[in-house]
Amino acid sequence: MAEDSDLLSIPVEKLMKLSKSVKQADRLLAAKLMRKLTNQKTIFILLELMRDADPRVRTEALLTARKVKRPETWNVLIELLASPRYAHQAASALKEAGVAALPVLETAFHKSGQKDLVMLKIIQIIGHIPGQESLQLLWKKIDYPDKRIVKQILYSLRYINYQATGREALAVKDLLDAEMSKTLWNLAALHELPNEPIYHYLHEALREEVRDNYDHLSLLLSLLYDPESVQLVKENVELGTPDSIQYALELLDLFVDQDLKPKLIPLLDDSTTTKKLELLQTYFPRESYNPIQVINYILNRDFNYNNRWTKVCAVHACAYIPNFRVSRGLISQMFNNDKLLQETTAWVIYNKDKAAYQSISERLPYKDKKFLDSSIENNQLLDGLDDGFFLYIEMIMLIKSIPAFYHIQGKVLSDLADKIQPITLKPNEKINIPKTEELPILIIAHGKTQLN
Amino acid sequence: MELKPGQVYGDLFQEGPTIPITEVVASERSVIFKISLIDFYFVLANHHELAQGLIHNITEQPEKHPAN
Repeated sequence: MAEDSDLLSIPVEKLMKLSKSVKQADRLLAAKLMRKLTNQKTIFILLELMRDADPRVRTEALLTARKVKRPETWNVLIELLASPRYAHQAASALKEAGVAALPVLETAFHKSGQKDLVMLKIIQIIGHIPGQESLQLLWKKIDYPDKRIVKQILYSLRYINYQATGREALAVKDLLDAEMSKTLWNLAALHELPNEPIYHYLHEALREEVRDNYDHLSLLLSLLYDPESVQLVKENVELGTPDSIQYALELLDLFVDQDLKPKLIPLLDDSTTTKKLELLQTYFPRESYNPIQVINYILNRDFNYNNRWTKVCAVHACAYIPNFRVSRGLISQMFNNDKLLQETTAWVIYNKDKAAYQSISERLPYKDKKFLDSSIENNQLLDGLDDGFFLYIEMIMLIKSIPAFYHIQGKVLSDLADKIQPITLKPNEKINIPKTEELPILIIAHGKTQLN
Repeated sequence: MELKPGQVYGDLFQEGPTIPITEVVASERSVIFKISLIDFYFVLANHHELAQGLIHNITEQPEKHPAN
């Protein structure tokens, strides 16, 4: 240690000068020196370097923050969890900070207006910090209203092979009940929508939801019973042959609690949806609906029950149903913060009732109205993917049809579509890719291009 | 290298290392979806399903149509 301080001893003023230098190399050196020189007097230099405009300096400063584990850096690290460029390093630094960082993480999780993404990352980080304290923090949030957070908690618990007992097991059983109800609702909706081309995307989205529901049921069962047995049941149910399903149910019968059997078995067996509904009516009552009612319910349901892709597919289907009026459920989506839902709804309403579109869009903030007007100007109903202009929903539909993205859920591709920058080029027009930038991902949506 | 509709250029989407490019020229009216590499990996890091699906699709023989 004495040797270190001899070698690296440098006055605070000099260190500050280096950190403020216009030269990148000086600031990089300052970030590296901070690994040995961080103390109460110099911490502000590190905090500034962690916000440096130059990515290399910032990366170096984050590495220093990870090594020095100073509490003063944790709030900056938490802010960076929302940054695509630095989130990974910030998360690693917070994980290494360990138990000491838990109270700061907990406060940041409950901070008013905290971003969903940051909350999810915080849960991931808490899940990676070993010990009872982090487990307790996770369990405290098991009934959190946003079920994406709860799912992340369950993944974290599953990651450490956690087995729930006592009150925790009861909480998991409550979640199981909710998931079984969701599964049945989605199965029924699939059954109620006719097998017609206009419902193709909605059918597919609901099938993806059902697959997700079954995966979630397995995840919950793995926290209550032997994960290997649960995995065996899952694999055999997924095989889908009468023998494999029979084997899966017999296996399930051996380890599942009596109170769960009458609900789980009809849901997992190979009976028809009508039969499932009949057997489970007492546990999860559900009326039967016509297609328009199903769509309206999907539009109005909480995001915990149907994801944004299923909702947008429901909106899309409305466009092709002549007697689907511009309902309040549909109008409300025009005010959604989600651009994907807002734009698709605007397109549907415009093509159903132009006057209604005008009067609703007048109530929107100017920025939203301008965005929607320009989208609609370029897109006409029923032109589908062939008009050369792309709504967000059309981007996702196109990506779904590309072999590299086959079988990837629409909800995941929706999140990818949020990051797309569509570029329209005239013949012989070109875009430059600067050598200094990382090479982007380019998806050719329309026309032929030459890459040089 | 010429790319047609539905083809993808970028890290992970080519066999072997990605061939560096400096410009994209349209042979006809074209629409390109550009995703910055950092954004792409950020989405990938938040969705293990995307990583699993891409690995499966890129390393296996592609099917003609998605199974519904």
